[in-house]
Amino acid sequence: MPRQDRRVIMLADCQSFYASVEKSAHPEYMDRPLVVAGDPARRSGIILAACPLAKSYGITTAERLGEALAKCPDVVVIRPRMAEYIRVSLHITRILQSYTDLVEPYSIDEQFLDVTGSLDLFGSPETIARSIQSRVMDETGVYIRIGISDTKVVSKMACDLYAKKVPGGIYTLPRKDLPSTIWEKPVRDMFMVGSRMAQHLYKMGVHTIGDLANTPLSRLKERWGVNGEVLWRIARGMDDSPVKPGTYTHQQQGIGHQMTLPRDYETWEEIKVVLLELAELVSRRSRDKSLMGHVVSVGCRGQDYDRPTGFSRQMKVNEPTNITDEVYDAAAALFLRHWDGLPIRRINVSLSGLVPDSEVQLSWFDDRERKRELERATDDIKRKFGDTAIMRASSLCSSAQAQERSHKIGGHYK
Amino acid sequence: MSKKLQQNGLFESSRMMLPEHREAYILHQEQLAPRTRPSLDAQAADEMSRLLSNSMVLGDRVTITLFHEHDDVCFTGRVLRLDRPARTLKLLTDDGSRDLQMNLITGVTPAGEWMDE
Repeated sequence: MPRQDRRVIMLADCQSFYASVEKSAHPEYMDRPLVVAGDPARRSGIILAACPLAKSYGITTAERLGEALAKCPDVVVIRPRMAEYIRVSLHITRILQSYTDLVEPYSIDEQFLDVTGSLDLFGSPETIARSIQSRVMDETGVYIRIGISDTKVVSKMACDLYAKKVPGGIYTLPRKDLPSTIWEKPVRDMFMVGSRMAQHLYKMGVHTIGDLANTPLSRLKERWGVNGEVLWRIARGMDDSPVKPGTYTHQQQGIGHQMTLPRDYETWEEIKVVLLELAELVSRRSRDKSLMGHVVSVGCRGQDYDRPTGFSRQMKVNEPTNITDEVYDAAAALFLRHWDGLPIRRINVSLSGLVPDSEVQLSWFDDRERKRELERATDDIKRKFGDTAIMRASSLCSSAQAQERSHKIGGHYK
Repeated sequence: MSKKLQQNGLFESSRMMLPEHREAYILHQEQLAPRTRPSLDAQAADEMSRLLSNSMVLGDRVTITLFHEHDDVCFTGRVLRLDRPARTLKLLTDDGSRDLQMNLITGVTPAGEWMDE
């Protein structure tokens, strides 16, 4: 067999992922239109996923449940189960890993794989893709589409622009074919181009991906700096990014949590409750990982994303810590110093400058050791009986989010 | 040069991963990585020898932990005999007897009486 001198890279994308998982969990709904909606009890809940049948009624992702019900009154509405979707996504990772060890999840429903070294074992790229597709269908009930090329960006576009639209769901796009394929497509369809960027490009006279590829690089760099060069390279299919399974393990520089609040919080009385809850989440995760940090950051944003308000600031604390009270004190001091009093809608706290917690400085004259013991005990209780088994009294205030949050992953129900 | 144009920068800056998904993935990857066999502390080895001898002589039930690349394996039973040349011991478990390689043993603990009939 000839030696492979080009990489063979695939992007596997799950069709209507959440909805597909629910359909295979509920065979009784197999032939009915089904959507997964943020909060099925409210018509203002957002559609997170719609099965192809539901989409045929014109239902789209991210519209409100009320609109979807108007288009198709007998659509089956399911509440999300995020933990289950993560489990199924990892199951698919495991299937992909039986073809190659080079697998990299890009989101919950998209994963890259590099099968260059597996061709002698499993056959041609298309054979491998078909085999993966049928195994994923058998084991999870999810239909995956696969784009194939020799770079990650081209396999992503092969998937989004072609594999999702052809029968069979598998499409190979060699880089030499770009001029006769994606270069004909509108620039809006390109990976990494959003609607705003597309508008700017239209104004420059760039309408197709080919136009972008043939725009002088200097012109794009002048306008957008490095982002201009990124776009130019993507249009030309130039990308040497590796498929990197270890991409998530080594790069933990900070531990952070953020909350989007259910309404605008206007007073310090309300805000300090969620600030403490965030400090607790961040500190607890640091303790779980046996880490301490010596930089505390706080950020917040107002509700109107078009007229941004808010700030993001950080400060160094005297000694590395993962004690909730200490993180909270630093976060509260920072917040009060920089907050302009305007209502906030989103808030985050993070801890960085991480060091292992095995080396703690002994201090004789404070009660750090007591606090550490206390938190060890409360962490154990939470681990054993759930996050809400024990909590601060302030988490019973009306502005608190801890109870609500403990039922959710990524803002949606577990 | 900007990070976005190097290595995996483009994808690391644009991906959408839930923190819970990321953690579960890291855990999954850790389980895939082959581990190396720990070396035994002399005192721990003495204690393990004592428990194994007691089991062989007095018939106490013990749980033996064997090292494995991906996940430790445990067996509970009575030690029947030691095969020095082969460096194995024969353990009588509830589902028959099996030979265990001595050099893979990383732990021995008494198995409580309650497991006994």
